[in-house]
Amino acid sequence: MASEHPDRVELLQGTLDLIVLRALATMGPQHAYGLAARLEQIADHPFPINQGTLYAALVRLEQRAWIKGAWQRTESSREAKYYAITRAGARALDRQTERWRRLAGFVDKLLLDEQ
Amino acid sequence: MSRLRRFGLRLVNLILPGRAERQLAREMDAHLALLQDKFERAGMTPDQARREARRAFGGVEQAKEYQRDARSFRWVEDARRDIAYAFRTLRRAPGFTVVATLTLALGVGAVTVIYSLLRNVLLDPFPYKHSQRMVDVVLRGENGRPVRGPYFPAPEFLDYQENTPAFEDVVGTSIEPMHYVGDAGAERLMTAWMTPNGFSFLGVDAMLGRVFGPADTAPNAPPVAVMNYRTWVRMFGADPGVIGRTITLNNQPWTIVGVMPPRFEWNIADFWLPSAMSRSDDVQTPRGFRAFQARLRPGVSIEEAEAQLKVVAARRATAFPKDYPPNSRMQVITVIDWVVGRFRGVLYTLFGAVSLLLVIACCNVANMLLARATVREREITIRAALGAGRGRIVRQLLAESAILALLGAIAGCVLAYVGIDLLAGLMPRAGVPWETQLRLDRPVLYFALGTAVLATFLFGLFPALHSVRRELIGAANSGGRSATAGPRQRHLRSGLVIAEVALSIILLLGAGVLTRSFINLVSVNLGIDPKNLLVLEVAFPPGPSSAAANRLALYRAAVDRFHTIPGVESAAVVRNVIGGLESPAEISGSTGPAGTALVQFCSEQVIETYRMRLVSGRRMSTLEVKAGHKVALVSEGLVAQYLNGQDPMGRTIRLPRLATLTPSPVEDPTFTIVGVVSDIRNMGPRDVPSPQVYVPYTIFPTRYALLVRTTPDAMTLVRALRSEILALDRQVAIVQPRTLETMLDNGVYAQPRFSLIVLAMFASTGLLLVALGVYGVLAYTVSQQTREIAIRMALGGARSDVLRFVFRLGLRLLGIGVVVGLAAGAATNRVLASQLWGVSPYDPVTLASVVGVILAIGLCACWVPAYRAMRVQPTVALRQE
Repeated sequence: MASEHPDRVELLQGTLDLIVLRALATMGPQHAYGLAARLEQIADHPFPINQGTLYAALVRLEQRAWIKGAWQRTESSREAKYYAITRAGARALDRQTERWRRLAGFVDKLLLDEQ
Repeated sequence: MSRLRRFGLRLVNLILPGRAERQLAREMDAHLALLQDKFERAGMTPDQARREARRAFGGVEQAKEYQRDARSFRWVEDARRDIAYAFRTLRRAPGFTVVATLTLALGVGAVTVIYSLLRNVLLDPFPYKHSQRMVDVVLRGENGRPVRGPYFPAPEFLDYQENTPAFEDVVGTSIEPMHYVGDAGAERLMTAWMTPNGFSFLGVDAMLGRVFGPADTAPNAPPVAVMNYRTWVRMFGADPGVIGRTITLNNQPWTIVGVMPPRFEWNIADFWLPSAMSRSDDVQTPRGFRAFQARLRPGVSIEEAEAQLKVVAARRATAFPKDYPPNSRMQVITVIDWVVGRFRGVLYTLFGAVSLLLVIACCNVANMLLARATVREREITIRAALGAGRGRIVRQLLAESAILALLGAIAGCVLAYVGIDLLAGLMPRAGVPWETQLRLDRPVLYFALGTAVLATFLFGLFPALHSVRRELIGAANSGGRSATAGPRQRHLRSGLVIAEVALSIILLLGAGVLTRSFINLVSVNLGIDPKNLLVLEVAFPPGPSSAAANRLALYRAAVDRFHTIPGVESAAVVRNVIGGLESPAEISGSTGPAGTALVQFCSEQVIETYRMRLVSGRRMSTLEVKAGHKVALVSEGLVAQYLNGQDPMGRTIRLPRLATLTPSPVEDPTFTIVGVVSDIRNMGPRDVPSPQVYVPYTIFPTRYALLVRTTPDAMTLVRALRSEILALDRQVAIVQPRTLETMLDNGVYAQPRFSLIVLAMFASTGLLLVALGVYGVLAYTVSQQTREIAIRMALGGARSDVLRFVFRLGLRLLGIGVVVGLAAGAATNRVLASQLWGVSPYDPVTLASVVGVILAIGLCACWVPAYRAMRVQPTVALRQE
């Protein structure tokens, strides 16, 4: 996927959803700000995520009941909406991860073979 | 499962977006607050931190859009917003909206009405089974005129029926007027003798009771009759108890066994009576002389049927050579063609004309939308700058066009319903089957809506693509006011107007020649004054009172009595309303060519009743007519043709045909000419009059009609005349009192008048649309060029120059359109040639007047923009920079 802006990576819908699920599974409940910060941390290059796509991913996951949002107070007593992964979400994560691994392996093999 | 849940939630968010929107705002505010905290902790001031937070976040609105996209159905929301916006914009420009809607409505409505007409008259006029395969059989002579048929004597009929396997089924029908005496007096009803397979042939069953079949023509079967729906309503008040009742026709009892449904009008009879055919039928009676109508087998062509008939005819011709003149041929023609005949050409012409109108309408609307799109350039560029994608903008413009098309389609349907009622009132009776029902049916409506949708894409997509393709940035930057359209668009709009002008010319030319033709037709001097000339027929009951002598006595007495009624100018007895019996005419001592003449049997008052002129000699006297003396009047045409203008007075004229008349031939049909009268158009308004002879009616006892010339409106005297006749004989029936004017109207003028009115309506609508189109283009051009005009005037140009400039523009458009239109119009007018009379399709007067009208209207349309241009104040215009 070629991108127009060098430091913005347009992620496929499905992959961002997967990343968010994984992040919530490992980190526990997070709000949007936290998630964005965490995702920037993980990436090697500064990885500015388009906030819009993140919010879109969150709404998709919430509508599928794979995550659940709740308004809570942060440490600095600001309010924020925390998202937590649900049991259905965990199951979906496993399925999607398996699928992703298989796809990645398949693409790998293809690329290797071509060489 | 989770997918379903998501779908449901998206739907909810689509319908009730409020809550989700509030939640989103809250969440993003919280996010920004957290970011701000972070920056504050890094040491910035609250204001700096807030700004930095916003910057780090990125585009808030854009982010919100992404979320909105994911949480509901984007395209539906967009569509809903587009439609709402489109409605608002249309409402803000009411003039444009109304004109565009009306234009579309006119086009679509007109096409729907005419197509309905075409479908109902030509494609599906009969409620009978497989009416497309129903045919008539006719024997045509050398010159194409029918020699015999579709009525044939029984032996010939049966020969054709039995030897033509191409026909699946054959029905033989003939009509016979019958006498009926009811409570309200005597009436003449039309009955139709039909072969017993008739109703199964037509495939229509009775609405009440039953139809007759082969069992009803078995020997000793009781006489049964089936009744027409209209007759049932009129005579029996739609009483269902009529089944089983007996009705006496011509003194014979018939049992009514069934009533047909409405719209069943086979031979337009009041009653259908069963009668099988046999070779021994008396061919002098209706039952032995019937119309041959058949249904072709599926897959069999007309040519095959004609070939088979040809064989049969050839065989018969050896036995009866006189029945088959040389070079005559058997023709099979569909019933629809037979009934509709030349009216088909008229209908196709109208359809062509209405299609032209539709194209003009679409051109106009396209033009209007193009203009609007250009004017809204600024709005579009701003939206683009705010982030609307190109597709989005195109969709929004398309939504507007779609709504316009929808409005136009709805208005068009309304117009169609109204229009078809109007048209039904105008429709001529001749050339249109009685069974035809004029109504809008479903397929036609779909066709209309399809047209509207097609029109949407035609004129909606084009301007949409056009406006977006330009340099949006450039347009937004250049001067504050309206952007200019590229030369391509200007050419397109001019092209559209030129096309409109050309098409309008075509319509106008057609309407023009039809008008002249109609006026010619109507102003023909018929030789008779048809106004207030009443035609009355008297029907006698079968029996002694209808003896010849009695009938003649009644006619004489009636005419005498009529003369005593106030308001009656004169009355006469005649055999034919106009025209007469064709007979060879031999004039004593004539050196000119021998020929035929039309013989009219009449009483002595014929001259003043017709309002003919007595040219020379004298009229027949009352005594001569009463006594049956052999005197005659001849027409001027006869004198000119057969006597080369020599004096006919005192000569004798012999009419041999009269000696062969049945039942009482005229002995020694030689008459003394006593006077010459003016010609009347006895062959119809269009054709040259045939030579005519007038002889006393008393020499030939048969059925006659009464002509009555009245001073006030003829129809008001009908009751008085009726009672005079009934006073003479209670038992006779008065048939169809009608004026000659009405007869001519229905028979001759109705069709041309119909096509004229409809075409004129189209032409005037087209003219209106052209005026609007020209006005639109010029107004727009002027508004675009206001700056140039202002500069020119500031630099000392005269106002008249400006005027000339605008008019020149207009004239150029009109001129090109006129030239193209005339060329095309000449070609299309040739198509009309068969409907014209007395005027050439390329009639120069019409050409000139049409060009004049278009130029006049076009120049009027130029006037307002020209005037506006003239009044531009240079200082004001330039200051707007």
